[in-house]
Amino acid sequence: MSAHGLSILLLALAGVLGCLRVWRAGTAHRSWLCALQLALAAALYFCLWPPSGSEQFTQGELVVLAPGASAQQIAAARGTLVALPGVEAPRAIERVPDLAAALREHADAQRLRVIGGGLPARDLDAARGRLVAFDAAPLPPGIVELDVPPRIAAGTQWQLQGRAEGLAAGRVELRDPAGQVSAAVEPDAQGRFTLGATAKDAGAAVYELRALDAKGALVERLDLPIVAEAGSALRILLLAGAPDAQLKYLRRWAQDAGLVLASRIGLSTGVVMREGTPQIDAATLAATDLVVIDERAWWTLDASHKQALRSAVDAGLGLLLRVTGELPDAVARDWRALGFSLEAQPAAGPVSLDQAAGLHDSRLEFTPLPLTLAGADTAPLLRADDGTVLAVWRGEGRGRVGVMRVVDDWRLALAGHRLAHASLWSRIVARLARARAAADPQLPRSARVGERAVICAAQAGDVIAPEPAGMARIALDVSTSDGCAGWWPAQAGWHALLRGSRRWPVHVQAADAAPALAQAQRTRATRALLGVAADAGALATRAQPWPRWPFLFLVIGLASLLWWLERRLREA
Amino acid sequence: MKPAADRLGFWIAAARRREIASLLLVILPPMLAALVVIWRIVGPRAAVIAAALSFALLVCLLWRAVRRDLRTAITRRLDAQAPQLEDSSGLLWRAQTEPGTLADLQRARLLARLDGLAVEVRAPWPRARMLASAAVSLALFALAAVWPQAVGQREARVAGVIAGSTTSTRIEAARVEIEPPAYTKLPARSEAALDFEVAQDSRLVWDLRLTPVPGSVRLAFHDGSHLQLRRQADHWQGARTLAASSLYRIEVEGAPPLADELHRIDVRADRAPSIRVIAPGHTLTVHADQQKDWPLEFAVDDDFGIAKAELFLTRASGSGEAIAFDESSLVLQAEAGPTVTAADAGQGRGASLRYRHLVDLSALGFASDSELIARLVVSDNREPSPNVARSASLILRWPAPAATAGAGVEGIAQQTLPAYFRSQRQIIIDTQALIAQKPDLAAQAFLQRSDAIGVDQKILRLRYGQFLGEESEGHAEAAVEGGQAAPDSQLGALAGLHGAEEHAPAGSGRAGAAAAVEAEFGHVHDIAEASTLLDPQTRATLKAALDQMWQAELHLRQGEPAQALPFEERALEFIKQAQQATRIYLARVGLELPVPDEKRRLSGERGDLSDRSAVQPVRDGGGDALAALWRALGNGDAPDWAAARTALRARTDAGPRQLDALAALDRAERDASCSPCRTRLRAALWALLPQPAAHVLPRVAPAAEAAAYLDAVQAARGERR
Repeated sequence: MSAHGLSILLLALAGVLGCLRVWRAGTAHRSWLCALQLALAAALYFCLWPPSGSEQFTQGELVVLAPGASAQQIAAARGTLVALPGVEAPRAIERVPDLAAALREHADAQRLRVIGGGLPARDLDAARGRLVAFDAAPLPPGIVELDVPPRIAAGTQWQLQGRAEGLAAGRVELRDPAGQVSAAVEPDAQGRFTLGATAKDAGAAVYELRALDAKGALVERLDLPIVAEAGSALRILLLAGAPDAQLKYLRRWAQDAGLVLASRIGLSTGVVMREGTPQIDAATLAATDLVVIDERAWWTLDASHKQALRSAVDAGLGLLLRVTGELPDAVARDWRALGFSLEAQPAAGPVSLDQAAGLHDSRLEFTPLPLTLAGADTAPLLRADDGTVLAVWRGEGRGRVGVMRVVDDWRLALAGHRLAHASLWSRIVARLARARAAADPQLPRSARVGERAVICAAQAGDVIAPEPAGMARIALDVSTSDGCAGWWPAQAGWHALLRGSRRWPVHVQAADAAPALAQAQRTRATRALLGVAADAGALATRAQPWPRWPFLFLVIGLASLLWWLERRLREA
Repeated sequence: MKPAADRLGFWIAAARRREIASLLLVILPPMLAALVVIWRIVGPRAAVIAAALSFALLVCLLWRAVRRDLRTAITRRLDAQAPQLEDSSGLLWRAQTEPGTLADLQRARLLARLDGLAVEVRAPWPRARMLASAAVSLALFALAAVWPQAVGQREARVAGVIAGSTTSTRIEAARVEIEPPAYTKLPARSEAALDFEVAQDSRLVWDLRLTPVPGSVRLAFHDGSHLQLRRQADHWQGARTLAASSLYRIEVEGAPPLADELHRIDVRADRAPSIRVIAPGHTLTVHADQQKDWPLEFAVDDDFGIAKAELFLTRASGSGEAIAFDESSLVLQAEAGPTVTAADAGQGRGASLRYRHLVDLSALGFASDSELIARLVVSDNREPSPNVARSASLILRWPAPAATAGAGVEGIAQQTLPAYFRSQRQIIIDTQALIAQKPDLAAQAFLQRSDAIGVDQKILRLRYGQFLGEESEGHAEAAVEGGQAAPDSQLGALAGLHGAEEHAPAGSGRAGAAAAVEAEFGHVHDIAEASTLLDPQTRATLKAALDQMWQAELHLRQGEPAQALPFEERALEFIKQAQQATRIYLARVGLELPVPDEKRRLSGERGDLSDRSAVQPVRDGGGDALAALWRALGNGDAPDWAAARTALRARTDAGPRQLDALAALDRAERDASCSPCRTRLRAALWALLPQPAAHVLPRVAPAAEAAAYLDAVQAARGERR
């Protein structure tokens, strides 16, 4: 017999016995007393087994309160509610350890509605394909978006973009590892900002990003780990019909940056200025990473040279065509065959390169040659501030070919922005030159203590070592087909992935670092899961038990009344 | 009854005393030991708070002991020890019993038996507890003894570096006498610390007392120099004059080493005086009309007083190449009035002085076309070589000559330029324009304009003729042709003088020999002061030019500009020749081009031309040792400390950053296991690192699948073509 049936039986028995007792006593109003006895039994029954009313609800929908949910959001939430860990919700709301557990508990839930600051990474997979609505909580003040270049070459200028929340008339500062402000800027109306800094020698360094409000008070500070990578000694072959300033500064930079330079620059008929072994044959080109050539040098090439260049490009060589003046027809024909339009166009005014060079209001102007560049499948290589394309590139076989129509970029170096000039050329050369870098392991860009980070392209034998040395090392298990391994860092700070004598630094944030950024990331990740057809969801009714407390009060009230009545009657 | 009651009271008091004594014996020792431990480990402040709390606890416990009812315990003990009390001693405490009852009877019997009863009513000593308490106390005291040092005392850096053991030498007392250079007028002071800030060139006298007394003591400075201290009784003394900020360490011999600490002295350099020009407001002042003097006012600040302020006045007179300079200088005295002397509360007698001077222009001979340049040079008190500061150069300039002609000629002279500035070239252009316009012009207008050009030509001829001392007929036509010969020009003056001479009545003679002779026998063609001395050849050329001008004027006046044109052009040619004859060539310095080989030049011979090498010089990568150190620290490798230290010592340009980095380097080197030290050193090095040229990160080589895809795309392209 179920508890329900037993309780009905006992209550009925008690009610009948009570009635009989009252009846036998034969007092006045005994029928009333008897009715009260029965009413008391009924009230006690309903207190134990409250009756159900019907409630309208969206069938199969679960409302999940995620960390970051504001008090108002929680108060306004309706439906089948569960709260993930980290939510300060009333006790009445069901707690679940994670979303998967909640879905097991509510097996009918096919649709999820998330309220708050977004689902943590561990719950994203469970929510995939079920999320129909996301009511995002407002982001806390601080830096909520940060975009740092994935790879930074040593010695280059680099820029980070970001967005700050709640910093009206405030300021964002970037401080170098020595603690000096290297850039400070006021975010625009949307809170976006761009800050630039300079990488020094190859190695890991921690910059610092500070968000200050209008009064200069610190809103948030976060560590910005930057790893500058040492470049390769690329081999560059420089062919030019005549010396010019662009070549002078380009060669100077190339040598300072450790590139291996071979050059042949014409001085007069049959007289050239030579450096290294500037030959155009298959063997030399196969060992070269980038050929820089201008139209005058091209004009002197014979068919076999051109053929050697074409096939070397197909095999991976980079080729940069410099337009330094009016193109001879033969050269224009050859270069058009490489996929560029190269039609004369009306000369436009001078352009500035401040954005590309990472400068602020340098007032330097550059004059591109009046020539169209774009072909059918070209991509811009260098753009002026106003969007004018100054250089484009396209893939050709395994190599890349670029064409450039600005020749006075050297004025950057002349005006004192040597670093900007070098960084500009570093990017151009990196884009075009032969792809020859070995594949590095792909390290997580924002690992966080206690959260899963993924290391890909790892090899057997790789280990993760925390720094300073002395802590336990973790060997990576890369038996999966994609060569990826999961990692749950336990300690904040620098770590290094060690492979033989090579090491790649990777930084782990503390669990509570950059809360605004973390919440914004969760919000974005959750929003990205939205995409299930948001049909309204069948409205259904379900039984919802009434609250017990009115019945409890009724029981107490009736019992008290009966006690008082019977006592009075007995005394009487 | 009475003695028995007294006896009971006595028993209770004795039992209570025993109770309190036991409590104190058990509680007090560990409590005191705990306080000592707290004082040693946490600090005196915490110990005081803990003592207050312990006292409160103690009071509570005592209060409980005092208030406790001991009668039950005494009863139990009486019953156990005295059988004659017949297990009824509880009755003793009853104050009132009903008379005649059994209890009353028994109580009376008991009271009677109390006399001479020898019982021990006090509780026995709690031996086990006391033993435990003693053991705990001893353990705590031992902990306090071996705990190295209290935190609060660690802050006392020098006065007593308390080291618990004798494995290191301690500094018992340290004093540094600081004697700033005399000119600063700073008071000598004494520092008890070993890190401080001093004025540049201060003399420092160290006085150290160390235990145990070492064999010798020296100060090792960061630049590698040492200062050996002399022993005087148990003091060690040494002196040094410090010109630059330094790091140093105390090194001892014949004794255990000191606690390893690097000390830093920051040297405040004497600043050069700063000069602020208060008047005039701008560096360039234009001489006002009737200005007789030029007020100058300067405010000068210096940190340690100003020794001398000298005003240099340079007068430049003349124009063109004939400029003469005339320099003078005078020492200014600071104003006695509101001289602000900065507070000298330990910061030295900074001074802010004001200098005022009124330049008397007429005394200096300031006149038109001269320029006066004033400059204040201030030197401070620094010894041995003073700091010297110079103010900006203040220039007083005569206003530029007004471009308008004299009064009264506005109606006549309509040209925008004074006539004699019309060049021969302009006359040619005008003439050509007139010839071109001839078909459109009426004959009368044409003649009139031609005549006007003729007048211009004549004026120009007179202008050049003046150089030759030629007679000018300007006076004859002055009334007719206008004010070009107005007496404010040299030409006009000459003409006027000439005319006056020529038409002077004979015999109206003036006194003076030369003038008289001239007046009698001839007339002046040139004023001696204004005469232009030309060599004969130039003179001949000019003469020829004037002849051509004559001819041109002739034809212009007759309304035949076409015929005048060749003469005009020839005149221009001659003038050019004359100008070139008087031009001065200066040798240029700097660019010395190799003399071209004229035999080979433009001959087309290229026989021995050959290719050139374009190899560039390798740029010096300075600061490599620092960069290597930075990398090694980042990678956890063993750095080359010596090379890095040498490189750092050479970076004297880095100012305080150098010392920061040196101090950080020292700490990191000495404590290899200190990870924060290495991090700090890396941060300190950052600003000193050289900026490498931008590296290039090539793309990652495509994997086999990606390469196959690219090849397929290329093949498809090839087919399409």
